[in-house]
Amino acid sequence: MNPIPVIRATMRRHWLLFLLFSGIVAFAIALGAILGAQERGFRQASARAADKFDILVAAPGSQTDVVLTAIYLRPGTVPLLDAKVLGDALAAPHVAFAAPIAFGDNHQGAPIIGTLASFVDYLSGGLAEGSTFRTEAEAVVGAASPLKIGDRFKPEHGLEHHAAAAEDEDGDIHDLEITVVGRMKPTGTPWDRAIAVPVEQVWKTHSLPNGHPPGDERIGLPFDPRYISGVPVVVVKPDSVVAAYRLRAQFRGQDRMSFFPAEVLVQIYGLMGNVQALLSSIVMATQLLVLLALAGGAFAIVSLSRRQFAVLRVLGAPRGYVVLCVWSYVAIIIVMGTVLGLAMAAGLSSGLAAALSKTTGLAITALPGEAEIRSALSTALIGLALALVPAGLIAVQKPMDGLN
Amino acid sequence: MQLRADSLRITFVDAAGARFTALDIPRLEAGCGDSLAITGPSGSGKSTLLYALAGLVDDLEGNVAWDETMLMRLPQTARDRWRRENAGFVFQDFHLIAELSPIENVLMPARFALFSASADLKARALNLLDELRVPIARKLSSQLSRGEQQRVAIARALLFDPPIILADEPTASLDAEAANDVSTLLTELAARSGKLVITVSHDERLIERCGARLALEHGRLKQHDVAAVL
Ligand SMILES: Nc1ncnc2c1ncn2[C@@H]1O[C@H](COP(=O)(O)OP(=O)(O)OP(=O)(O)O)[C@@H](O)[C@H]1O
Ligand SMILES: [Mg+2]
Repeated sequence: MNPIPVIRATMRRHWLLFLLFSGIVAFAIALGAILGAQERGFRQASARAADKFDILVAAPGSQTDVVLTAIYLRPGTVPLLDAKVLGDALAAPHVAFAAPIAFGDNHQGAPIIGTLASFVDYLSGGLAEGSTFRTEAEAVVGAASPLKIGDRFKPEHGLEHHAAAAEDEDGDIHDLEITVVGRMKPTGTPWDRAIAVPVEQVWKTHSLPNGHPPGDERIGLPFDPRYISGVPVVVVKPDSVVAAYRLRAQFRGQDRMSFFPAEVLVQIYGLMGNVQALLSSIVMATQLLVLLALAGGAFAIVSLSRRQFAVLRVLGAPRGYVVLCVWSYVAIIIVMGTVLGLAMAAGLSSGLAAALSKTTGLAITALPGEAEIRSALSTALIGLALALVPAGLIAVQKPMDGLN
Repeated sequence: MQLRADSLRITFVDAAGARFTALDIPRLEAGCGDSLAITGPSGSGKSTLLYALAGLVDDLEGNVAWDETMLMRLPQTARDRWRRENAGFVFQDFHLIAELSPIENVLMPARFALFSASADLKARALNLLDELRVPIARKLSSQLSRGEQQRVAIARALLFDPPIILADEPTASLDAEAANDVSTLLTELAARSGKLVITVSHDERLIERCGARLALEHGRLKQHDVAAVL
C-alpha cells in the first residue's frame, strides 16, 4: 500500500488548514516543554547555588529569609547573631571552616558582602584574576560585575544609613574608597554580581568592633574573641557528613538556629511543585483539547473529501488503505507539530532562561531535556491513537453513501 | 467473464423510516463482448444495480456470480481485491484526484496493494494515456478539459486490463463531441477487446450503440424478456 499520493493531494487541497493544525499542535507541545524546562532549570540552578553553603547558622527567625539573603543575596532583614556564635563556630572541632556573611552597603545596585578571603576563594574555586583582599579597603568582585581590577569606588549607603552617618563621628570610614583587587570565577549564583570585602570593613561601617584590637590593622583570622561583633549569618562547612548533622544540632539554641539550606529548598520546591503540578495539568488538559480538536478537525477535513475516499473504495481500495491515508495525514500533522513545538521550545527557552537569570542572578539553563521530549512524545502518541478515530469513521462509510 | 445474477433484492429505509425496495431483479446474465445499457428515470435504481454487481452493497439479497466467484460470499477485503483486479469503474463526474497528475491518477489503483508500481505498469499507464490522446505533460488533472478528464478516468479503469467495465453515466457531463468519443471507446472495448461493458446512461447515442438495453423502473425490469435474451 502506498498512501502518499492521497496524502499529498489532501495536503495540497487544504494546505492552510494543514499548516494551521500543525501550528496549533506545535504551540501546545511548546507550552508543555517550556514550562517543564524552565521549572527544572530554575530548580537545578537554585540547588547548585546553595551547594557550597553547607550549614547556615543565624538568629532564630525565618530560615527561608536567611537562605534568600545569604545565598541568593535578596534584600531582606536578618537579625544579627550573638557575636559569640561566630567565635564558637570558628573554634568548634570538625569544622573545616566557618565564615561570617555580613551585609554592607552597595555599589550601583551590587551588594557589598563582608566575609573572609578564604570563603571567597572557596565559593569561586580559586580567583579568575587578581588577588584576594588584604586590607579593609580592598574588594574582590563577582565574575559578572562591571568593575575591573584597579577600579576604585565609594560604597553608597541606603538613606537611613546616611542619616546615621551624619551623627557618626567616625566619618572617615564612610568616605572609604575601595579598590578592586580580584575577580571571582563564575559561580552561577547571585554572588557573581556581588562585591566581596573583608568582614572587618562591614563591621567598621556599622561602627562595631572589627575583630581585632584597636590599632591593629590586620584583617582576617584569627579574630580576637573580645572584639568579635555580631553578623547575620555564619556559614559552617563540616569536615564530614557525620559531622554535618552533629554540628547542625550543636548550633541550635535559644539565640540561634542552624540548618541545611537544602531543608528550605525542599520546602520551596514542594510548594513550587504544587504550583507546577497545577500548571502541568492545565497544560496537559490544553494539549488533550488540542488533540481532540485535531481529531475532530481532521475528521472535518477528510469528510470534505469523503467522496474521494468512496471513489477509492469503488476502485478497489480496501478499508485499511483509507484508514492508512487518513491516519497518516493526521500523523504527519502531529509529528510536524511535535518537532516544530520542541524546536520552538528550544528557541524560546534559552531566551526565557536568560531573562529569568537576569532577574534572579542564577545561571539557569533551560533547554527542553529528556523529560520534556519524553512528555512531548507521549502527547504525540496519544494524538496518534486519537487519529485512528477519524480514520476509522471515514473508512467504515459505505462507498455508495459517499458518492451520493 | 460471465455474469449470472439471481434474485437480486435491495431494500432501503427512507427518511420516514419505512422500508422500500430499491432493486428487485429475478435474473440477469451477460458475458464477454456484451455491452449492456441500463436506462430508467432518476431514482429507478440504476446506480444501485451497478454497485450491487460490483459487490459494493453489503445488504444485498440474492447471488452475484462472476464466472465461478460468488461475489457476496467473499469476505470484504477479498471483494475489494476482486473489484480492483476485475472491474474498471468510470463515473459521470470522473472523480479524478484533482491535485494529482494524469499519470498518478491512472496508477492510483496500483497503490492500494503495492508501494511502488512496476515499470511495466507505469509503461502501460503511459500507453493508455497516449492511446486515449491525453496530454500527459499536465501537472494537475484539474488542468485537463472535461473530455480529457473522462478519458483519464477510463485509462484508470483499464489499468489492470479488467474483463469488466462498469460505467455510471460516463457521458452525462461531456459535450457532444467528447461524449461521442467516450461512447465509441466504451462500445469498442466490448466489440474489439471482448470486455463486458455495463453502462448506466440517459444518452441515446450511447444506448443505441450498446448491444442490449435494460430499462429499470422503481427497481424492477420494465422488459423482462431483455434480461432473458442476454
Ligand atoms: N444508501 C441509501 N439509503 C437509502 N436510500 C438509498 C440509498 N442509496 C440509494 N437510495 C435510494 O434508492 C433509489 C435508487 O437510487 P439510485 O442511486 O440507484 O438511482 P438512479 O437510478 O441511479 O438515479 P439517478 O439517475 O438520479 O442517478 C433512490 O430512491 C435512492 O434515493
Ligand atoms: Mg445514479
